[in-house]
Amino acid sequence: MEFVGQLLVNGSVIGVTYVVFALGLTLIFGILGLINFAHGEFYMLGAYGSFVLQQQFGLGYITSAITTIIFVLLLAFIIEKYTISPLIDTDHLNSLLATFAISIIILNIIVIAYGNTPRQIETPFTGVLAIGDVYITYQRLILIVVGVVIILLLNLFIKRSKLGKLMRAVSQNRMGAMVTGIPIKRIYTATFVLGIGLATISGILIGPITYATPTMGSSAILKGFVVVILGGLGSIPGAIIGGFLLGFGETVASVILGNSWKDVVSYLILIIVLLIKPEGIFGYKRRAQ
Amino acid sequence: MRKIFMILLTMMFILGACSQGSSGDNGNNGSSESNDGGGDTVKIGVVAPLTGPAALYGEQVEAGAKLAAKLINEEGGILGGKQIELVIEDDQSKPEVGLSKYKELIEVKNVDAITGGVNSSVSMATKDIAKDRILNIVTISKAPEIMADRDNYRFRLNSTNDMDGESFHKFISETLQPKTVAVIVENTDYGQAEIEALRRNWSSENDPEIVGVEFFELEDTDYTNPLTKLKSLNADALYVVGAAIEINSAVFSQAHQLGFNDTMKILSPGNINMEVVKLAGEGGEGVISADLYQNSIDNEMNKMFVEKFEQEYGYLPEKMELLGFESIWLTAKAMDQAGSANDYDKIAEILSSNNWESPRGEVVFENGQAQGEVLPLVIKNGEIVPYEQ
Repeated sequence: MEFVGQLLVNGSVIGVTYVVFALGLTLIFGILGLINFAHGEFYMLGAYGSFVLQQQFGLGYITSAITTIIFVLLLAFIIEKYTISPLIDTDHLNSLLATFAISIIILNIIVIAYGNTPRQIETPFTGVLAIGDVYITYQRLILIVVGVVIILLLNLFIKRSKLGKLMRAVSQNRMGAMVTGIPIKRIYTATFVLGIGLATISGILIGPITYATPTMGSSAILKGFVVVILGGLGSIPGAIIGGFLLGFGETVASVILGNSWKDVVSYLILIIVLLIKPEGIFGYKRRAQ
Repeated sequence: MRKIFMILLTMMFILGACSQGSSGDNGNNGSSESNDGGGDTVKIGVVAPLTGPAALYGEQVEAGAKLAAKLINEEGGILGGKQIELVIEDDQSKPEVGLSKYKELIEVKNVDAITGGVNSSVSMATKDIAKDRILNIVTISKAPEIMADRDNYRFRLNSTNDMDGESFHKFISETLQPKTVAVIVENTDYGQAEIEALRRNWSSENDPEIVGVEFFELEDTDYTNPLTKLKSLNADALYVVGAAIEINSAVFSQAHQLGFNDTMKILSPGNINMEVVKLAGEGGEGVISADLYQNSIDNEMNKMFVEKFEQEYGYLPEKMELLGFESIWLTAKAMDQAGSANDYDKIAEILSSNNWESPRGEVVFENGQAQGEVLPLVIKNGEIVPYEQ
């Protein structure tokens, strides 16, 4: 087991990716009560945005990242305003189907515009850091650092800021929040945009490591759902614990049992947690709304 | 809540299904360029997918075929001045469409031979209608069953995975001579078959020893865990079995980042192309693989082929273009020697008994299957070149 250090690094990279992706998913579920099927496609847009801006406008990694985030946030704002918001108070099924439609539309626009060829995203962080037997590329290091900073900032934001407090209020009791005069619709918009922002950032961070492909979102969202259900639907600490649990669980399984067992183990963890605590690690029983 | 999860699950499956089939459907230049010249032309049908998921391969085959017809016609045609006329049909990668196109070509358009066949499923569906009736040159389709219960008129140009494996694995064992090999392989029928082939072909004591095998799923994007485990085995070579461009590139670039630098890197045969080279970057440098054709092969015919191809289309040909070219070229040459465009017994006899010059080297048929070893290749300075010790 001389490669424990390397596994720690690998597990952290996978864990942080899962956490940042799942945080957006759980935030949107917790506050809007919406399962966002298009989450993976916004993650894919993060990677494609960087690719297009780099290739066609010659921007660098960081400037293209910032431009992509601004663009996708704007897109998320418009989508929320004109599709989610009008539907959110109707049957749950409507908004669910809307996000499903959005995911298909985005996926196919990308396929039509850029084809199915995998695309490379350039990054200035190309070097490899070797500490003894442990290797980590700077891009992965950046992913871990940025990911951890985002996780900490998000926690601070939810706990301390006014908007964060309003969000929590809406999440805990929608009717009560409405009665006290909290502008629920605006909180919804802000949450959706914030959640999508997290998906976009994880796409931008992972893009240079895995290439951008149109279907990268559909595989990411599967694991995203597992993390969110594992941690407890709508729970932020749940997504964090769930993401790292899954990341390290897969890593350990892959090494001890063989790589083909890693998905078996991650779903096994999910089943065990759900058997013991059906609402997820940090979940709580929701009142019917 | 339960209801929502049921819906969620259902949708995930639909989502999966949708994302599988999304491919471009460009190019619709099917149909014929017919001028119904009757006795003055030799008509050869080309059935290939020009729309649908395999459209890119179909277009590549078509480009090669058209070039062959053009070159032959420029030199005055065959059989004392008859021009080659291609009747190009789109099978859309669908067996039933391929079958109806074959029927139409044989019974209505009266072609003298049919080439093409990119998808194995289409070639399986069409082999019986052509049986004992017409020369049927299967160009790309790889499934072994296509050559089963063969009539004398069915030939195949592409090699099968087993053929590729046999000669490439022998080359690794005899020329590269790694003592130990760690394998990372996709968890699919293809991956399993390739692992079995490796174990079969390396069964003697002098062959390399497989010290570790790790599988990955096609949805995976991070291969650092299996690679870390394989790295700890300190094998002489890392053998990657994968068919997808982005997977092969990512595995090699992640192996490079994990410090696999002194390890010999090998990619399963038939999967190397310029896209992999571009995407893998530094990680692809030094990767050894094999294929039955590479456009820098040094022979007169290949130089001519590559030059004319680039002139015509503005890019360099790869395997698919070569096989499309060969399908028309060999058919025409054999007809010419037989002195007839539809005496199939004679044409088949000539195809089987001769050694044919082709851009890839010499082509020989055994029971209709083109023989030949795969060519070892290596990525060097961002180019794919023949391997030299």
